[in-house]
Amino acid sequence: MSTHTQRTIGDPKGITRREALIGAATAIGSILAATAIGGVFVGTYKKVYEYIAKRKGVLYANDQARPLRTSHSNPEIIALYEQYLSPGAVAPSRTELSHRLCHTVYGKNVEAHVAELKSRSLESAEQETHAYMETFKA
Amino acid sequence: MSEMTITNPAAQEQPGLELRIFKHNLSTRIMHLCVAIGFMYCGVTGLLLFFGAPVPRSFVALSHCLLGVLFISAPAVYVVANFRSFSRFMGTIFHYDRDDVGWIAAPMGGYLDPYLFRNKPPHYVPPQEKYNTGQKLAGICLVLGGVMLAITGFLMWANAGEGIFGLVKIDIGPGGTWFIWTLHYVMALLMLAVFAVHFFLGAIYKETNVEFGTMFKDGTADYAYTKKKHGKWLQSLEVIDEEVVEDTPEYLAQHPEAKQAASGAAQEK
Repeated sequence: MSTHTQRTIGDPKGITRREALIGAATAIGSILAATAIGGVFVGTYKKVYEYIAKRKGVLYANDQARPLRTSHSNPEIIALYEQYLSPGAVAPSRTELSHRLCHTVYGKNVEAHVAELKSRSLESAEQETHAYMETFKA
Repeated sequence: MSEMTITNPAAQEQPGLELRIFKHNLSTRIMHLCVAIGFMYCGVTGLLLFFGAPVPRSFVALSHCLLGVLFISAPAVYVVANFRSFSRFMGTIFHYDRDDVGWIAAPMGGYLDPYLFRNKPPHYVPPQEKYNTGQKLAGICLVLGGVMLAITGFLMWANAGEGIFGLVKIDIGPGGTWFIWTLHYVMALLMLAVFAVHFFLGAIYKETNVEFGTMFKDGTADYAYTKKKHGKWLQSLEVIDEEVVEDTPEYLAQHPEAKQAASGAAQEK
């Protein structure tokens, strides 16, 4: 049986100082980039979140210091309901008049709401409210 | 492509000598396989999710994240386990000289000759290192792009819903979320473009698809191809192993002079 020499050649075993530096720089740079980018995003959002929390705190504190904090304890609103929107009573809060004059909608529902308002006059809403309140009081 | 004269004694062809060029070691090949599987799966599922294809979104999104972990953890382990090969790779892809300018001016290593200069003599292409200029530039794109995809992908996963299995939750706000998602999409598209060229040249294009076997088989490169395309690298190689072996039918088929000598010796006996 005849034979021959089989030689395997490949990259040198060692690496140069330049290669080691570039390899280390890439590995460390990637970790630093990941930390920095993540840190910038998280840090920025934390600052924004802290600002929002502070502003929210100020608004709540201001609100708490007010004598009238809710709409249902506002004498003018109570009077409006008693004298016009639901004559003779504060409750029920939703009558045809209050719905027509105080409620609104947004977005896709606007067209249907406008159509509903156009379909009935204010007088008819007043009549319906009065009739409803008679039943409610009874 | 112009072949250079090989003056490195270790890499010179001689009668009765079979040269095996060991190009990619086992850990490199395993890492490359993991990266290829991870990238292709994430690329396909990413496009399906992006274009709103009718797929089970939660399952596809979770598997996209898990294969993304494979895509990035394989090179991370490789850097630690085989720092020498990684550093050599990084050293090669960040090293440029006049031969790289010549490769680009060829144009693009002569790959565009058949399309742009059909009836003209082929351009001179300077000898290349282990990776040619195009491979080196693609390597930089893939390393930087991979790191960016990993960072943005991690933030996307940790930012959405309950975070990463409820263990890591990072809130980056709506603006940060938009920016990170956009960056992830842009980087993914760039990476897919580079991958398409890499896959075409490595696995399909008939002049260069021998590289596929080098990476997915035993890691050895074809001598004639390496001499033609990576002569500069051949000059730097060292002998790893040398042994006397019996002639195989494959060896005799490739070396007619050895076949004749063998038949002569048999007649003498």
